[in-house]
Amino acid sequence: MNIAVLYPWVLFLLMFCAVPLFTRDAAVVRYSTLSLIPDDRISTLIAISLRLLRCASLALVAIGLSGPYLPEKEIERIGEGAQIVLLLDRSSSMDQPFGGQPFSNPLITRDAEAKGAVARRLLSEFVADRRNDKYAMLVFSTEPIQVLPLTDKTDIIQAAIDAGNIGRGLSETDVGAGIIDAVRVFEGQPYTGSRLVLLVSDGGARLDQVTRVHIADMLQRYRVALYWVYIRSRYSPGISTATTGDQYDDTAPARVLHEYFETLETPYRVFDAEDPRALAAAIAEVNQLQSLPIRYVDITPRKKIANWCYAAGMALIAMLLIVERMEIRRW
Amino acid sequence: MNISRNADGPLFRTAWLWLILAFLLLGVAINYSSFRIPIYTYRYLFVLDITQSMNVNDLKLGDVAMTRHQFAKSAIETALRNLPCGSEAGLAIFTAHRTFLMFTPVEICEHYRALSEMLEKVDWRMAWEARSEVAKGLYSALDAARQIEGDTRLVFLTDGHEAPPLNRDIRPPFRAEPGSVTGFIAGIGGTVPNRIPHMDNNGNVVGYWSHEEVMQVDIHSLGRAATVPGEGMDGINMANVARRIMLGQEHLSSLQENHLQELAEQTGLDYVRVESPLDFLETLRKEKYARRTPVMSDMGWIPAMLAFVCLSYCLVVIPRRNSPASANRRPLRLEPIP
Repeated sequence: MNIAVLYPWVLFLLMFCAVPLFTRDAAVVRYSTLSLIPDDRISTLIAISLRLLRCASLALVAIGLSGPYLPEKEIERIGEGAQIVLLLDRSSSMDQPFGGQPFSNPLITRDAEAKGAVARRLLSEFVADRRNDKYAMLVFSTEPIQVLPLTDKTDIIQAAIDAGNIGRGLSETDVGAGIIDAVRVFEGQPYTGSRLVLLVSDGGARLDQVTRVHIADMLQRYRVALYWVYIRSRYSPGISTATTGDQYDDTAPARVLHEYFETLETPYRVFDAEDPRALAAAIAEVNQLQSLPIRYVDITPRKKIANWCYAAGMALIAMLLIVERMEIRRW
Repeated sequence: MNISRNADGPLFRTAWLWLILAFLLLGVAINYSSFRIPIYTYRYLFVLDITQSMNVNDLKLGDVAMTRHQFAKSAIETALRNLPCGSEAGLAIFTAHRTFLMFTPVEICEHYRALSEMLEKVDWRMAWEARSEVAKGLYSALDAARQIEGDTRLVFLTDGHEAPPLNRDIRPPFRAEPGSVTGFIAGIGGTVPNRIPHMDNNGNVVGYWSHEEVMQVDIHSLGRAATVPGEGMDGINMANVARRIMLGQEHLSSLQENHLQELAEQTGLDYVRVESPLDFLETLRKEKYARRTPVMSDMGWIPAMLAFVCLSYCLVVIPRRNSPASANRRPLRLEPIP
């Protein structure tokens, strides 16, 4: 067990602590001649231990003053938890009302909850529920923007999710570039556990062949699973609605994207944000995914031990007090 | 029996008094080892201009030449390292005509790693559009700062280069109340106009913006985009537009202090030119931007130090004083017992 100190220079006081070794033990009592007193071994022992006691009490306070602490320790633990990249759509369409809520007049969109707000609420709950995971976050519209590196501090993740509530969305939706950049977060990171890109988006996109191959390749190379939380717009069909024909490309681009994702060899799931159980399902699915235990470094914070020094010092002082009261000063 | 001296002496030389005092003081020290005291902390939203004019390489940090962008980042990095724990920082980027908030303020000591790692990643490649309407960007930054809870101060780091340029007479309107957000505009950049680099995706300079590639006059001066091209707009001075375009210097960029000062005045912010990161830190530490928050701190050392003094007085000084002269200095004189 290592002990470190904050202010090593205070330890110079320890030199001063040796002074009681050389002072006298007790009050001076006059006696006719010392040769009359027999040499008593126990008395000598008591005298020496009294001197040591004084030194020790001073030294303990001095050490306490120097700010001793047990340094933070890194312990490698094996546990549960995944590395998750949150990929949030911030295109302006996300400011439109969410399809999964009742509305009476289709023209009134004022009080309706925006798709983006639904997305952030879901993400926030997801993160709150899975605190052991490491998260990074990207938002995408025309260009993917990384807003967080991989981190396990939940405060800053919530702060990044929160930030979406301020200001409007940007412009277009480029899902392909978003996914590729999201997977890139894992570049150069050690593979310590299951990896997941959690895409939260309302939109489909028809990806060209190059992008399709690129995405499939990236997901495979970095062994990343893709989960899509689909946020339905008003009037657009749900993702899992049975396909009605082959003319749906224009009416339901989300389904085109979904069908492409299904051809991926890496794990892929889709969740409908409308379904209240979807989030719980998603959270549970991530649990399923963890075939591999994650290895992470747990840091136990440094611990100040000055108080222990002071407490020990108090104990010694109490003993000194008792001795002091027992002392015979005259006879 | 012969009593050599008054054994107790004056009260302040009685050992047990000092021992008790030391004992009590140590108890106090343990009690106050985590004590909440109010100190000055700060809550800032840093908005970084990531438009291309920030890539101009005209600043120096020590002997190292760097771009305005790198300079601004190292200024924020210095702030993150040196502001007191308990302070909070949020990050946003500005390009085109708006500020994009990346995350709301979080405590800087606990999140230092994530914050500095993220700051490192911010660059011009994140820009989703290549325009630089500083005034509008500043207004939206003010909106963002106002919407974040908890009285956030705004720090807007920019060179003030507007692209496309503004019309002298038609400025973007500022609708919010001046002074509702406090903070400052940090002017970053050299005063000598410099070429703005084109960069490839790896950050290499592959050329410079030329005179023809940028808008040399504001869009109002170019006239209405109507059936008759270049139709004049009411109240806009369209004289000499061609000449103004020829003489335009908008492809060069320097720190637009006058413009930023005007903006600061309009919005109730301060304007500070950043000469060095330490300079920047000093401005950030100003009392007018601070708030008082209770922060856990260790106050135990004060009573512990007093305890040490009491204890050493009792164990070192008193025994010396109390020892009779004979015991210390005078040679022992034996007297016959009567």
